[in-house]
This record gives sequence, structure tokens and C-alpha cells, in this order.
Amino acid sequence: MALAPITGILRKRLIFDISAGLGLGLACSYAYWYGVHIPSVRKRDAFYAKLAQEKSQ
Amino acid sequence: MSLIAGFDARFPNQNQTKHCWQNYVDYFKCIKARGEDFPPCKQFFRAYHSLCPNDYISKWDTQREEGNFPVNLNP
Amino acid sequence: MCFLSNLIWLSSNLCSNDAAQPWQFGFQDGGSPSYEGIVELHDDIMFYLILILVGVAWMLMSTIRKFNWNHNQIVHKYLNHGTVLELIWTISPALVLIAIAFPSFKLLYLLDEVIDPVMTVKAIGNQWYWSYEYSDYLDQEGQSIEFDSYLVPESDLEIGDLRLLEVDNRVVVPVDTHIRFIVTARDVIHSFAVPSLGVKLDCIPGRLNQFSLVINREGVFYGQCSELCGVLHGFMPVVIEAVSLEQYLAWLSDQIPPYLTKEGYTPCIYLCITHLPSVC
Repeated sequence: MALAPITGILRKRLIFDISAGLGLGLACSYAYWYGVHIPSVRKRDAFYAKLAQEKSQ
Repeated sequence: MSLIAGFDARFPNQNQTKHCWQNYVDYFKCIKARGEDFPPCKQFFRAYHSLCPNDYISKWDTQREEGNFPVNLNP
Repeated sequence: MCFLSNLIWLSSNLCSNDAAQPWQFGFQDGGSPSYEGIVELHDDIMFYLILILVGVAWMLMSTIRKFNWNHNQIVHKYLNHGTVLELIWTISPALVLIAIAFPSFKLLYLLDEVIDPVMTVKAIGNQWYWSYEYSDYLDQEGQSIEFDSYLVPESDLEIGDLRLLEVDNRVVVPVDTHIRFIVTARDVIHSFAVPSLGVKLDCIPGRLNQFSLVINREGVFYGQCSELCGVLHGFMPVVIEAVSLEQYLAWLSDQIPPYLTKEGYTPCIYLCITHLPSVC
């Protein structure tokens, strides 16, 4: 009974790992961008908008 | 008409040492050549006062009075 | 404990932050466009940093878990090349670096520009205090406004003052005004730094360094000398107080005697001419 050649274990592992690593990395980066950076920018802009409004009064 | 030393394209970067020095020298050359009341000379006066630390100005003034100033200010 | 509580209080903005806080984790609150640019660049780079951190951590964890002796007993002793893989792991970091370089150089050159300031303030570092000169206006004898700024010793602090940060004479400047700072030193190298305004520039004896500053909001901004200059290097802080234009002019007239520009303009008229030429 012949078995099919068992090749490409390492290659498949590598493809999986690199994609998973970079994919998870991208996900975390975007989570940081939209979860930390954008709210912080919004808060800062709101502060200066309020300041400009107070100044114009 | 700028009331202080504005942007000078000869000195665009961070190091403004020569900017201060050049304005000081140019003012005294200017008044030697044209007299103290010549209005464009006043721009150099304002510029060097704005840029140069007062220590530098008094040191150079002393040098000029003693005849030790390293530049020939004659036109 | 202090670290955690400051992490929570400061990130929820329940208290504002123009000076260093004990156990502080993030940035101070900003007050100038330079600061905003720096934080923007920081966030840009942090995006790629997190990408690389998580990617590499994943690879490391995967290698440790799936390729240890108990899990995998195949040794690839004839594996010599992997051209595709090598291309990938050379080119993608290069691309990341290029992506980081664009905003970085843009900010670098933007910060360097000093075009059309309205006033000039000189800061001179001494051992161990700062001297400030406002020489745009001179009095009858040709004297300009100059004063020294010493640290307030702990014994003289009032309640609410910041230890090692308060000074006797602050640098008073008007808000929303484009100011050119010229910094130098009289003895050894110092460094003029105010983090909440995105300012840090070395003060080198014999050299005049310039940077430009616009302060967007009124307030008091603290910083410290940032270049080792002797025993009291940690004891010569910088305090910049940004006030409204009217308060600045009032402060100017408090600096006796009456200061005038060469034409005889009072600082009030002089600033009016430069700020609002259509009005004056």
C-alpha cells in the first residue's frame, strides 16, 4: 500500500504562520488606530473647537 | 516694513549665528556709508538687536570702541 | 499602584497635564502645532510598530510551540534556500520603513521652518539658570527687557506649586502669535526643552539656534534643561506662560522703563501693526 508523498509540511506551516502573524498584527494596528488614535484626535479637536467658540464670543 | 528680523534667505536653517553677525556688521557699515539717519540702516539695527544676545552686542561694541573689531567697517 | 492610577486618571482626561506627572505613562497635553505634529508622527509610527511587534511575537510563539523537540522531530538539514521567503522578509520591512519615512521627513522639514515670526525671544542658558531677553523693543538708553529665571527652592514653594519646576520669572508670551526663539548658552551646553509645546533645542555657547513656536491656548507650560551641564543640571527649569495679547502688553508695560521700538512705537502699537495691519 503506497502512501501519498508527505511534503510541504514546513511550507504550509510557514504560509500559515506568516499570514496569521501579519494578519493579527494588522488587526491590532488598526485596533490601535481606531481605538486610541482617532478618539484622541477627536478629543483634541473638540477642545480647540470649543476654545475657538469661546474666543469668538 | 518688518519691525524685527524677518526671514533671510541667506540663513534659512537653524543656525542663526551668522545672521546676527551679518546684521551687526551691515548696520555699522551702513551708517558709516550713509549716516545714522538713513532709514534702511535702521532695519539692520532692529535685526541685530532682535537676534543677538546682549552680551554679544556689548562685547562687539567694546571691541569697536577699542579698535579691536575683527572686520573693517569702512565702506 | 501609582502607575495604574495615573494611567487611568490621565487617559480619561480627568486632570490636565502641562507638566510631567508622577508615574505618567503617555504624552503631556499639547499646546502648539509642533507638539501636534510630533504626536501625529508618533501615532503613525506606532501603527507599524504594533504590526511588527504582534507579527514577530506570533512567529516566536509559533516556533516555540510547534517546533520544539516534543512536537516536531523532523530536522530540515538539507533546507538551504528559500528565495521567495527571503524576498518577502526583505522587501516588506523596506516598505514599512518607507511608509514611516514619509511623514517623518515631512514633519522634520516643517518643524525647521521659521518664516515670518512676529516677535523674537532669546533664551540663554547659564550654570544654573536661564536668562531671557526680549530685544524687539528698546528704551531710551537702548536697553531691552532682560531677566534671569531661577528655580524656586523647595522651602519657598506655595501649596499647589510644582517642586523643581516653578521659577521666579516666567517667560510670558502671547497666544496665537508666531514667536521665534533664539537659544544659546553662556558657559556649557544646555538644552531648552518644553515637552508640552514640542520644544527641545540644544543651547551651544557661540551658536545661536532658532526655532519657531505658536502657542494655541493660554496656560503655563513647564520644561527642564535637557543637556547635562553640571551639578544643578536638574534644577534649572523652563516655564513659559502663554497669556492673551492684552495681558502680554500689560506685562510688557510692567517691565519698567517704557520700552519703545527705534521709531518710537510703544510695544502696543508695534504689536498692533504686526498683528492687525488693517486696523492700525
